Amino acid sequence: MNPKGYAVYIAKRIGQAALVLWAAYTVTYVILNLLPKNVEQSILVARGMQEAVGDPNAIAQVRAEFGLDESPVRHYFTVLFAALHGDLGTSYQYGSNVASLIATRLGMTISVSLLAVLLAVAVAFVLAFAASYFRQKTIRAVLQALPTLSVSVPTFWIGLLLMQVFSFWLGLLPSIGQSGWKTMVLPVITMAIPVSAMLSRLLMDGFDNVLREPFIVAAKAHGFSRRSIIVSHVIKNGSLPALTMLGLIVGGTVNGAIVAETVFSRQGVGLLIQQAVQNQDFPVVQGVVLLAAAAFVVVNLVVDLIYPLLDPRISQTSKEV
Amino acid sequence: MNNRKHRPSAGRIGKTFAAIASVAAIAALAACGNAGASSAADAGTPQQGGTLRLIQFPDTGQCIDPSQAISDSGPRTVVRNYVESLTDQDPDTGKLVPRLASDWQVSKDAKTYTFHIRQGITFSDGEKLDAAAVVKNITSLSKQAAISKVLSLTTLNKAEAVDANTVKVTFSVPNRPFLNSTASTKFGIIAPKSLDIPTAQRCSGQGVYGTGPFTLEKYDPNTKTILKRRADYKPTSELAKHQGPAYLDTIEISYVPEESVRLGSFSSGQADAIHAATTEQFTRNAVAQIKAAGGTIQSHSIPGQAFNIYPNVADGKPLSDIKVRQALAYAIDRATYASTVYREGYPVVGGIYDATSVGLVKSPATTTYDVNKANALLDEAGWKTGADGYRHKDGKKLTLVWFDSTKRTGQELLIDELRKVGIDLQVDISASRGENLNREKAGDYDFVIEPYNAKNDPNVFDLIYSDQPAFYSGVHSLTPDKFKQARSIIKQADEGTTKEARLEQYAKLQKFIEENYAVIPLSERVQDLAVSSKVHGTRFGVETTVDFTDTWLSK
Amino acid sequence: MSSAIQLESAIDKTTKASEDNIPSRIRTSVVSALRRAGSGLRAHSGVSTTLAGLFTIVILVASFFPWAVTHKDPYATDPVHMFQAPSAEHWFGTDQLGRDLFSRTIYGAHATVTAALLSLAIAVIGGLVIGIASAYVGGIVDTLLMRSVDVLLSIPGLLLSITIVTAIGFGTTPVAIAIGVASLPGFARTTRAQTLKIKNHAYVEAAIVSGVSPLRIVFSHILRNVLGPVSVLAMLEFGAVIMSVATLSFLGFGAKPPAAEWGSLINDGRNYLITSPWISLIPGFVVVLTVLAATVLANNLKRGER
Repeated sequence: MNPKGYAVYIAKRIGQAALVLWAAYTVTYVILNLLPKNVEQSILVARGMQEAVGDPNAIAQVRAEFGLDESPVRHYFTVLFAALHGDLGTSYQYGSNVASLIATRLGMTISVSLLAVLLAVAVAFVLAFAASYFRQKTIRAVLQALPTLSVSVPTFWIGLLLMQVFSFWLGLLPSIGQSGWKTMVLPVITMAIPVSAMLSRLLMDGFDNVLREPFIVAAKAHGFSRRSIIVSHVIKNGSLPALTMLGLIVGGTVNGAIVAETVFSRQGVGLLIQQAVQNQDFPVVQGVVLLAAAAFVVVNLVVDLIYPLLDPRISQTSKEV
Repeated sequence: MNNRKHRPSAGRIGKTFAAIASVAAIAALAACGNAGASSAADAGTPQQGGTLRLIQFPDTGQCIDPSQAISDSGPRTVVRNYVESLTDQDPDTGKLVPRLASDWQVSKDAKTYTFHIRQGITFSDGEKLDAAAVVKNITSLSKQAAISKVLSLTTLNKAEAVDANTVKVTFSVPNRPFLNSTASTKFGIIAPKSLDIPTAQRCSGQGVYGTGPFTLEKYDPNTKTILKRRADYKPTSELAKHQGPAYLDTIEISYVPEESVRLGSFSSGQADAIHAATTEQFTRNAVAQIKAAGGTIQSHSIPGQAFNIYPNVADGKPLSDIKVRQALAYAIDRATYASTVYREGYPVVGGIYDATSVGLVKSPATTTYDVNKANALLDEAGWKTGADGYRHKDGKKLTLVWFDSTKRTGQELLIDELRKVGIDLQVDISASRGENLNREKAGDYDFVIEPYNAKNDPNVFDLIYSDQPAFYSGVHSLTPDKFKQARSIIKQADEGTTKEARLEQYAKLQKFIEENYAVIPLSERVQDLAVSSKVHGTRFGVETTVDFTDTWLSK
Repeated sequence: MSSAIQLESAIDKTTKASEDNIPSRIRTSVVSALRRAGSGLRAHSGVSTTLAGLFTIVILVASFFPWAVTHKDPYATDPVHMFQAPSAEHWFGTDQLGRDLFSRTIYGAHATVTAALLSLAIAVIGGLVIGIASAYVGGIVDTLLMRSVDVLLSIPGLLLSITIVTAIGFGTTPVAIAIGVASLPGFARTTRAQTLKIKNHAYVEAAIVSGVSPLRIVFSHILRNVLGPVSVLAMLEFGAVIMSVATLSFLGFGAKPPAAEWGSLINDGRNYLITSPWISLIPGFVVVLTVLAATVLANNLKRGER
């Protein structure tokens, strides 16, 4: 691909990403406003104005304050315009700014999520390496079955079992609390398991495909050891396809965060949205969805942008299986 | 115990099976442990210092200003330990004793109250407690619409400082319930400067100072709340077991929504105490786990309303027929409910108020279990059992919708109990508070349960049968003319001049409610606290609170 | 949420991306990754297929005819016999109200599997309509539909489901609808890819040229050929959807009491994990085994198809 072509490609990709993000925001808005809801009362109760729920004046005031008296279309453009300026509205439940609400809780979610992804990547590589390194049928069978087994166990169930065993039974790790590395261990493992299962499937396959490539067969014929072939060729070439699946990992991590934070009662973004759904706190739901979609879009964008640079064969369309 | 190490290669399935085996082993152990559970006797000399790690339920109100905090045991207890009220109330007898007020007088017509304020007390920001500070508090409380109703301040004429340490409070009408309100946490007296902060902003607790044995170091309902000992605390309540500053250095409160996590954390020693929510009592299972971990359960009846069913008697609703309401009352096996949903030995409800409430009149008519009578009444009312086992009338099934905000074990038991007499009970759960209020207001349900604990005074029903309702359950449980009658009984009671006359009126109210089956008691409410063997000297206050002034930890 | 569908849609995404020069080999690699997923178990392929098949049949029978599998009432409380460990009388033990957990798990299968099938039906039918329309009509319609699908894919599945649940309310049916809609994009992509393939076959082109009505072409040629791969995907997705139903009901958005649903059975039992572990663990295992069986079957089916 020539430099000019690459520039056009970048511009196109960025444009698409922005479009997808806007559309995700709109879709969420439409879904959330599909049915009429009595949010005014929730807002009043959240403000401790329980006695005012029957008061038409108080309701009218809240409606005006949250722009609920506008027509749906007008309200949509109002919130969209505000969102473009970084203002995600006001939470019905907490009465505070959604962006800052998310910001104060994001750190907790991101630290656990990053660790979980790192752990998942490490485990996936080890598994995939082992699966391609060992040639004994039984070992390979067990290694290749592991991811399938792991994805069949619901994440919340993994969390419950880990807590039961390591916290309540062995007493090694705390089940409550949010500060200190010890409190992060179990949530990180809980979130890492499904992600690593997904990733190791991809890697095992990528490795196998490379192992069947002609140049590997040639290297074998030249007497290179299996380990050195895997280390020097297979890992690099075999993991490239998995790179394009990073978006999936973002999705898996967001899902994992919602479940893990609920199980371990950690006050991150995952628990924030779980509670927002319980309380019909639409601005918060909308904000968190936007954030997750942004993460997905950005990661995919980065992958799309760097992939052509990493894979020299990008311009050749290879047809082999 | 199955304690062998598992090699990593055992694989997921292997590990899971091992986990089960271990859990089962623990269960077996727990079962044996029950017998040997030792009680945390308050033996020995109190020891100074230490941190009490307390687990509470999530503070959904997200507010720790004394008057605005939600009426649950958790926030109320935090408030009680950093803010004091004019009086203190003995939770067993309902008797008022001095706290910030050393003494008080009530005029014969119950319109004028005079309080003598203790001297030498300071707020934790250094301000002095005096008559002016108390007046500022009362005036401010009377302006908060919802609170003034709860604290019986709506008819306030004036609160004034007669001298530096005497406060005179006058009302436009006789106001008997007022005195019991002065013991409430919602009547917590805060520093004059704290009152200058706008009401909504006080929720964060920042800048809010009280006179209590602890100070609010940090309030974060999402993570942790920390109370620190106040070294220069001057004791005020004679109900306290020792006179002096608190023994504990720190109280650290974590908020845990999941019962399994609360119990697990307590069992594994990560917490010293679990403070149950007012609406969530320890179950049989919880008691077993707490005892197995060497802990003790402390429990106190909550004065105020029991867990009551409020029927919707509007026209067209099945419960508009008093016979169906009567049948409903007979169909509930309250003894089994208490021992199954809660635990063995749990008190069985006997009236619309809990056992320790001032002025309770037992109501056998609405609390007796008799399936035969229930069936006979439903037959009489024209509801005939159909092929599906449920009762029908005019082609309509006898379906009752129980509208609730959370899922509880009791719902499932009640569904099955009512099924036995042919009533189809549907539980409808919605956690959205706005939606719930709308539905309650509109009467879009057949019955609801509305526990509200304001104070130990029979006048809590003033909030249920209110002319400006904050709770709509009362509005739909009586027809409009009967509702007026109930209101007039309450009005007469609260304007009554003697205590006896008042209680007599409240007995009349309870009779009236019973005759109309306007309230069907379901279960008693108790406030539970679990403490480890290290924790000594906890004291229940009125309104489900726990006072930690006397609490100490053995090493 | 559903890793299978996301992988599958990722395949399609990369197919589309190949127009932008991302190599199409990724597609083939992922397909074979899916194919391989159960290959470890396939070391004893016949045995695993038989076991998985048998288990799936049992679960399906239990879901559709729960009363034939158990004569016990799943809602009948019996406080005298609460917290009983598994025995000959109560195979899975009893719960906190003395209800028979075996029958609750069986009726739970009814609720959960029916919900999962409803989700799948929504996803498959919606996916077929969108996918075929997109590929067959082509042009601006194709672009619009596929971009919409991209948008739905950009929101993580669980998040999309709970957003829908927020809007339409809690309960088994809303949860099923939400999961169905959230799984739809993957099916749309697969259908589109398959339809494109078939559309270019000579006989379909001939039919188009000779003026056969589009509806007839869709029903007589395209649908028949698309259904195979789509049903394999549906089979793969079945396990994932069951997990999603259980997860949403675990998060507190599912069935209302006293209905038994797998997720809520597990959730309700977690308070008793230390004292009565069977209440939560046995339904948990049933979920794991069901998902596993569905995955193994789907993988073997997929292999057989090639």
